[in-house]
Amino acid sequence: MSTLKKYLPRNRIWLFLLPSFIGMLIFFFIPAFVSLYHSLTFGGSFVWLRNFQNTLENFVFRLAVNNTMLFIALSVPLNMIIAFLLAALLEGLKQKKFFLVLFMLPLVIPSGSVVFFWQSLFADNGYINRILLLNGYDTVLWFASDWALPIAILVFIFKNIGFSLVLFVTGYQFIPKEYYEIARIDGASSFQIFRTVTAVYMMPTTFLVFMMSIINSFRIFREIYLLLGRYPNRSVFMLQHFMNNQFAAANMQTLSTTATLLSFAIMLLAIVCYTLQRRLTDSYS
Amino acid sequence: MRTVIIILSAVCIALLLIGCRTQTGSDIFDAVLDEIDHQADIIDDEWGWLWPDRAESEEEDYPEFEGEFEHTLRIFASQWESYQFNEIISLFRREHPEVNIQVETFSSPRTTSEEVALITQLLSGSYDIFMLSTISSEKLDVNSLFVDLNQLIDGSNGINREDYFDNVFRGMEANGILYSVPLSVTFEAPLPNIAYFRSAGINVNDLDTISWEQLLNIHQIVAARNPEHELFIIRNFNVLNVFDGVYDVATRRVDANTTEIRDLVVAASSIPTNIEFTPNGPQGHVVVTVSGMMDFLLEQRDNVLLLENHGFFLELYMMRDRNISNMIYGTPILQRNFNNRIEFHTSTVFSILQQSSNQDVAWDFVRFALENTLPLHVANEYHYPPSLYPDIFQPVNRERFRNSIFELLESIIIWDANAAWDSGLFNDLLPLHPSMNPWLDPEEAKEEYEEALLIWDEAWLEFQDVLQTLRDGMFERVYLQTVPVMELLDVENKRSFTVRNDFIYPDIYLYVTGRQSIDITLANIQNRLELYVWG
Repeated sequence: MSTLKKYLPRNRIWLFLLPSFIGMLIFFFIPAFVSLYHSLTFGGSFVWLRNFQNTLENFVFRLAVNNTMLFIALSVPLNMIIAFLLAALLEGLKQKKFFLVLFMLPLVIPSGSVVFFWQSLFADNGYINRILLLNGYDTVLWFASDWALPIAILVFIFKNIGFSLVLFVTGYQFIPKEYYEIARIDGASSFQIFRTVTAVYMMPTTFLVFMMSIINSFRIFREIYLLLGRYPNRSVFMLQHFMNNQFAAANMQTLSTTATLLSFAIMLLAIVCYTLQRRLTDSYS
Repeated sequence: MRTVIIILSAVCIALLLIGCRTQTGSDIFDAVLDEIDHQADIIDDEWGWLWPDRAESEEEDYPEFEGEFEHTLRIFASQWESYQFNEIISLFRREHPEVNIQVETFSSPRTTSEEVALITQLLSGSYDIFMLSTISSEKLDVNSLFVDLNQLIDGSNGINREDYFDNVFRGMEANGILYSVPLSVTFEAPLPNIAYFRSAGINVNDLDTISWEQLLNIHQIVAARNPEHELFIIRNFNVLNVFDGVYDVATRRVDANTTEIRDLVVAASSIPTNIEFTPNGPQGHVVVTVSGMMDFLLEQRDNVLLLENHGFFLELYMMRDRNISNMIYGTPILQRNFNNRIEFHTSTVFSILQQSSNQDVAWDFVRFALENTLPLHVANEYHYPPSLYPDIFQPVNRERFRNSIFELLESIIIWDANAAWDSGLFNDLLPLHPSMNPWLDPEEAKEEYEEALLIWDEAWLEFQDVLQTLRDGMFERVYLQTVPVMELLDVENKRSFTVRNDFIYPDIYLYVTGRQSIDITLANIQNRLELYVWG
């Protein structure tokens, strides 16, 4: 480091950042600005917010937004609650590491293998339908019916729970154990201990898990694509499908407008969550 | 040694004999073959330019442009289209040597994934013209991709709409713009089985067009009266055809989940499906086979309610295919889709891309192609004059359309008759040649032969007069009958195979195999078309 300081003055260290910055510029910032430009123009002339208006009026876009929001609203809390409870359970177990590795497995297994497992369960001639048939029930077209959404949620939780679990377990480790002992000595109930100790110290981790789950939920397209095909049931028609459609139709305006809207929505969500987390943490501490 | 000498002698004698025979044979054939060659030269002069080898040799008369090109026109076309279109490019280059034309080809996409790859290539390239007839263009955002050709047609360098079937151009509009123009079109015009229609209380002569609903009713009545027959609607009747007209490009509406379609799908799935699409179906089935491009061969013709026909020249069909009897089949009737519109299919469709920096030159090229439309691909591919196939696409250029009917009659009447004449000439005149009658006095034999030749020559002239009168009479009748039919066409039928395969077939398959109800099937198809075609 001293050699580096000698040959490279401090104010020139940014040179090291240059390769990454160039990469970000070419592959992120410039495309983002081009996308923004497309969302504000039509046929080369500025139309300002007309593309946004058209996109927001498009019933297929609204369907995709509704489905995506419903999916997030169901899958993210479920994923967090299950991961949180599992983390709490694992805290007292000696075989914590074994279970952690077990729950992490779906994360390291390729998506194709994960999907293959679920397909073998829910396919038209899959195990569940065979069991139904053996017991005298009619088979269910799981992927072609409204069951597609619960299955997609199941796959999402299966795939992401390990990651959320690791984050929560790590969060637990950062809570000073003395606080629990002091609280118990002071006669606090379990709920009071949870509210005043666990919840407060787990707030940053919960926020992180929440944000990561939302980001991962937008990436569910890959699993849905593999599991339900390129053109899935209406109930799992997500924003990514809509954007995919626009790309296939060479509709750059709507595609860029949707991407811009999505970026703003995620940014807004992040700001709200960050603010909320700060306030909650401040109020408890 | 002795054996070798014997063998060599035998070979020499055999060679001498063969030589003598060849010498005699050439004498025999000379007279007749000269006449046939003469006819072939006439044919070659008239038609030879359409043939690829001839076209290639003519290219030598038009050397490459040596100066710098003023423009470079880049055309992105499917392999099939570029193949058939080489002739037009060659002709255009002769008139515009300053324009360099580069054709980049792509394989016709079979799936929507391949289509996406194609669109990516289209957007990333700097093309001027896109020939999009092989992709499901109904999904494309035409407003941001293509130039509105209506403005170019009506502009100062435009074309006179009256010279074209303008209804076809109108039928190609989407989202308020004319994003592509076809060089030629065709349409469904099945031949009705007169007897079956009568038994359903319908006189086929009273029908100009027929809707799916009417067809379904007729089918049900006829099927009820003929329960012992396996009755088919049309040759390639496929339940997927039902969905061709359910999405309307102009209004971007999808109506796949209606009572009419429900009834038709249910009825269609109950129709026996032992229709063979291969050239030779198994015996004992009601099979319509297609041999070559146009010859319909029905094994049990009576059992077909409608015979598929892409053309409408019934009389010409009768002449070309004696298997189709006009005692059974009436004049072709146009079919209306669920939106009550008459659909047409296109061939060689041009669009000019907005990203093109040579839009004026691109339009010059498209206009040139429209003015010089010929179904050249048939000539190129099959080495036949284009009009040998009456069900091939019809030019949208009225003059070309008129010419195509003329050429059609020329090929059917004049060509066929002349071929028969040549055959007769060869068979009847050849035995009279003096060299074929060595036992006669040579002078006497020659005199007889020349007399016969004279009679054939006179008969030939009379024969040509009869043929031309027949052709001209039929031309007027057919032309006058068919122009109003062309003018009825009002919307393009996309019949996109990728849309069919990806959005319609999976659910129809589940329904036909009894694993899904008709209600869910139609709801799913409606959803998919709404979401993935228009979404």
